[in-house]
Amino acid sequence: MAIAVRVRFFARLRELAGCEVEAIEVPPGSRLKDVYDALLAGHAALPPRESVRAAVNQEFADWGVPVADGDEVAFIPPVSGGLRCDTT
Amino acid sequence: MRYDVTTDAIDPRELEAAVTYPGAGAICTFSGIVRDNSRGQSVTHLDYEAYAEMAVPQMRKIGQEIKDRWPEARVAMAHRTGRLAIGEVSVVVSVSCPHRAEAFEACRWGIDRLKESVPIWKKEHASDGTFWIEGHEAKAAR
Repeated sequence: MAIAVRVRFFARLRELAGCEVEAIEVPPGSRLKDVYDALLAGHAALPPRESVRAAVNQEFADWGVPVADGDEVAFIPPVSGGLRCDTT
Repeated sequence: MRYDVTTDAIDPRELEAAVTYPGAGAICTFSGIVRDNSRGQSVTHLDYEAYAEMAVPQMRKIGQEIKDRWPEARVAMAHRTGRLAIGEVSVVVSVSCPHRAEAFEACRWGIDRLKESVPIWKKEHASDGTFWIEGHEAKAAR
């Protein structure tokens, strides 16, 4: 059964995605990076994953973290003071 | 302890009142102010956008980190969102401690951590266009 997650975009990513919130379904076993890759298919303007950080349920998380049904996933551009994007 | 993300004007004195206690001999307060220039260009105003549901818990986490390092510290933080004019207060970190050395250190540490780990973004409206400020980079906004 597919996993339904709620994706939120902020700041420049929100503008590039063209929306603030998107509901998306991904296959079981999907990780954060799979969610982002799936979104890239529909939003070609989104930047490469290397310049973005991810959060699950309001906590920063690595790209390899699996997502669960009902999760709130956020894709976060660097903040003004230099949010580091060195997690993989 | 007080952590806010707000569209209302921030009064640094209110944060100081929130951290004061009888054993605190020092309160160090950092106020970030909207500047009229950036990257050699003049700035007309800023827009701040927050992931508020995450920003407040991140601030609380930084407050706890300060308490871990400086156990006698009390901490308050507030960040403004929405449209801000030149000269307005965008962010305040106030820390009280028994003595000034740790108050300065803890306050500096708190604002540095806030700037790097709290999901709040700055959109700069400048003479050369509108930009999202991401670290040292200014990226064209829509």
